Amino acid sequence: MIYVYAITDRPELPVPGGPGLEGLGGHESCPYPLPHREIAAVVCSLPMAKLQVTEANLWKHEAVVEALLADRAVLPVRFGTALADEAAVQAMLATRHAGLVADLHRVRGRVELGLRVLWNDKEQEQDGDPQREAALPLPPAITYPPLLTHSRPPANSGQAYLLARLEKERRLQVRRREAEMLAAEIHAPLARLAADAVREVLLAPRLLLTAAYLVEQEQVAAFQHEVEKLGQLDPSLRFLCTGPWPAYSFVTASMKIPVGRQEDRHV
Amino acid sequence: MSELVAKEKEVTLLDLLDRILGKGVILLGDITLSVADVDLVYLGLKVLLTSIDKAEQMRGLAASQGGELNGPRQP
Amino acid sequence: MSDPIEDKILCAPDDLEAFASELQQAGSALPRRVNVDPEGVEQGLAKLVLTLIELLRQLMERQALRRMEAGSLSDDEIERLGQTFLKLDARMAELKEIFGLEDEELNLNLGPLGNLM
Repeated sequence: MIYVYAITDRPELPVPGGPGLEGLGGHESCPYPLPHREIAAVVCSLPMAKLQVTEANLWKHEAVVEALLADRAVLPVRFGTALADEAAVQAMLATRHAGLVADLHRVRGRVELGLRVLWNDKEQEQDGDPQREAALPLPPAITYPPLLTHSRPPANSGQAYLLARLEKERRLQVRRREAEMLAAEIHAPLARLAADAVREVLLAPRLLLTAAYLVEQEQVAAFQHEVEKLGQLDPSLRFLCTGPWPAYSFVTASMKIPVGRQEDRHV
Repeated sequence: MSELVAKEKEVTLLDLLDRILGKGVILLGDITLSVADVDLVYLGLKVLLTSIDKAEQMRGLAASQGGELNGPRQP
Repeated sequence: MSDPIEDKILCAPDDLEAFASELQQAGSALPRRVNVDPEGVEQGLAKLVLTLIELLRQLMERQALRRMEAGSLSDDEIERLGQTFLKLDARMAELKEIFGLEDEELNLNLGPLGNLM
């Protein structure tokens, strides 16, 4: 089979070699470029048995892709992609040519930086099973459906369960709004330093913000500095910034809905 | 000191996994379901890898048994 | 370039444990997926099925809550619906325990539809 590491521009350039860059095929099957017009797929020949999802193989794949970043635009291909033969790869490059060229243009000279921010999830501390919550006194601030009285229905009743669920829903909504606002305050200054950004709020209760930023290679230090500054503003928040990565999150084949995207998406 | 390094490697690995298994250019498995999509694709990959391994094992086994007349039987 | 390829942390708190456990839970990437064994595959299937059931359950509960808020359910209907959801909740808890799955693992990321859980 033909294993695919990445799609790049500059098809005339050889693939960087050396220790650690042999890829999954080992030194008898090193990665090489398979050109098509002005782009190329970086591939190697690989027997199926060698395509195993191991930590070592993941890093071997990543090493090949990252070495390409030094002198060309790189679209990292998801791990584990193997096509039948070179002809199949050529066909794929031909079919997806326009989209790949556009993506390469978008990521040229840029790298991806990842950010995750943890906050204290007060909601989790309050969260219990609905039956226990049903025994609590009613909070005054919520307006209740007209059919329910202001005294608690019996603790193991269906009414009590749904009432507790309603209160929980409302607390969650309030919490989500708080999270969105706080996440925006963190995301905005960082997005300004990036060519593009994607972000999600509350992928998990304590994960306030998960984001990826497409940053010019020369801007990485400045971006890192900005993250450190933001990290010092609020001690209850914890910031984890990783990178530089190839632009995994900025490839149209697997885009989440981005914030602040300027150009049109290609179909 | 080495525990910090171990934690750093673990966190970095998790970030790598998130990207290299879930993002990037997707050439195969365009049938991503909108529900637990990554799980399904990797379920497919895992099942595929398991069955490929088994197939290779069985083929290897058949070849060695074919070559030996009095070789021991393998389960 | 003497840095090992795994050297990717630009900025991190002193305590990484919180991030390590959080990332494992967030479901976006689990080292478990890297493990190719038959039990893992089975549990992957169970996780998918239970996630779907959980999704439906939550959607139905929300429907009921909305109608309850709007006042379009009778006392009797509220009671019966509530009892049904109570039992469903208990049953799901049992199933999760049988397959060794935590709540966070059944989280769904439906992209533009947002995080429904």
